Amino acid sequence: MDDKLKILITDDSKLLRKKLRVELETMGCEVIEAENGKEAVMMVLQEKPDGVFLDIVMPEVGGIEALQVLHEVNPEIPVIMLSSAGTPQKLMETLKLGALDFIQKPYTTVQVKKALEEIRKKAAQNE
Amino acid sequence: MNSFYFAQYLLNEGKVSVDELRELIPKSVDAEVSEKLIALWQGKVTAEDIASVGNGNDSEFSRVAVDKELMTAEEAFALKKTVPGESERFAQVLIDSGKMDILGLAPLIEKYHSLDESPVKTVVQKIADDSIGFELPSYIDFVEIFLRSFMRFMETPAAVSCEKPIFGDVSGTHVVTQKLTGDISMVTGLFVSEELFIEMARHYSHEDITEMDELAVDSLQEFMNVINGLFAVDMAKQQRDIDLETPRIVSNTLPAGNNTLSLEIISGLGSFVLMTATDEIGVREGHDF
Repeated sequence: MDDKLKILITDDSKLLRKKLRVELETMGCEVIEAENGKEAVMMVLQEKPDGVFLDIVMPEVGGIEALQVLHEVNPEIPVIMLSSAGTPQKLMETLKLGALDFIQKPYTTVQVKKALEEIRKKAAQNE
Repeated sequence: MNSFYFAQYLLNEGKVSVDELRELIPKSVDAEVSEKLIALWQGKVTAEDIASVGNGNDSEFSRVAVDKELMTAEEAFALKKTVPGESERFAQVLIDSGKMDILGLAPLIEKYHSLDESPVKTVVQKIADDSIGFELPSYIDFVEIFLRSFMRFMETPAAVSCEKPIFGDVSGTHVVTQKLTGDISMVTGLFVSEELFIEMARHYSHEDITEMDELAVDSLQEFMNVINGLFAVDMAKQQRDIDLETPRIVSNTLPAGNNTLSLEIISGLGSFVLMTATDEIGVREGHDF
């Protein structure tokens, strides 16, 4: 694995993508973006990112549905869920579906850094 | 009682009018709060203590108060380090504008600190009419979270007007709404002029937004999404599960919905209408942005 992680941000919010891209690039990542779950699945197949940040509430294909499909096409890919509604129920639901972690919006830099470390560890294990 | 709602309390009690609130809330954004007011707010000194010290400037107040053993030197030093909240800044603006003096404010501050009920709950209950029944507790919870989060994310003070909002010409206005489903079925929305929409988007995103573009729309939709998410987290503590749909925006539309609660929010950025309803907030004569 290259030291520079390739991360896919999936969120319908342009603002969120812009802010998170800055955070991740500052942390040394290469960043690619998708606006919805359908695009995310395509990007995972084509670009083979090391990890995914995936919003839950998105139009058309939402994050939960996308998470299931992502794990069908790549069972090992580390996925960090993003949601404004970080309830315990949502947390359990996404962890059961194989998400690595869950970040409540508005996120902090510390949360992103921690998630990135988890992705790095998981990606290293998958090698 | 937390440090957010002193202006709301004074409005509820009729100590300031809605017009005064409109004038003073924006001024309170940059108010520099005196050490004697902070000392009074924190309960370090009483109104009698302040009267006994006299009308000197801040450094003189602290020095004399320490000399008279009304405060310790450590307490006086801590005052200088205190970052005042919205409530203290509003109290200072009342003094600066000559509407009240510090001795007149003292009993009001004391009463505010001993309130059992949030001033936000009080004003929402006052404005809600009979058409709103079992939904009211959820609406109150939402408005409390909204107001607190608005102040936090927009970095500006705000209060709920005690008068019902009047919807005038809807041209050049936008409504951002989001539907909540699950154990609570509710729609929340903001009815905002375009000028204020851009200002709010700029404050929330910290981006240089100057026109009604995609980033402006995205910013306020994300703002609503985050606030409704915080509401969902709060409701989860009451064992109520809520899902959020994606936010939407319509323009030039008179908002309407069933069991609608409309509140005018007076903020440091300007005034807008916050709405909650049990179904979709209207899309009549408007267009999707």
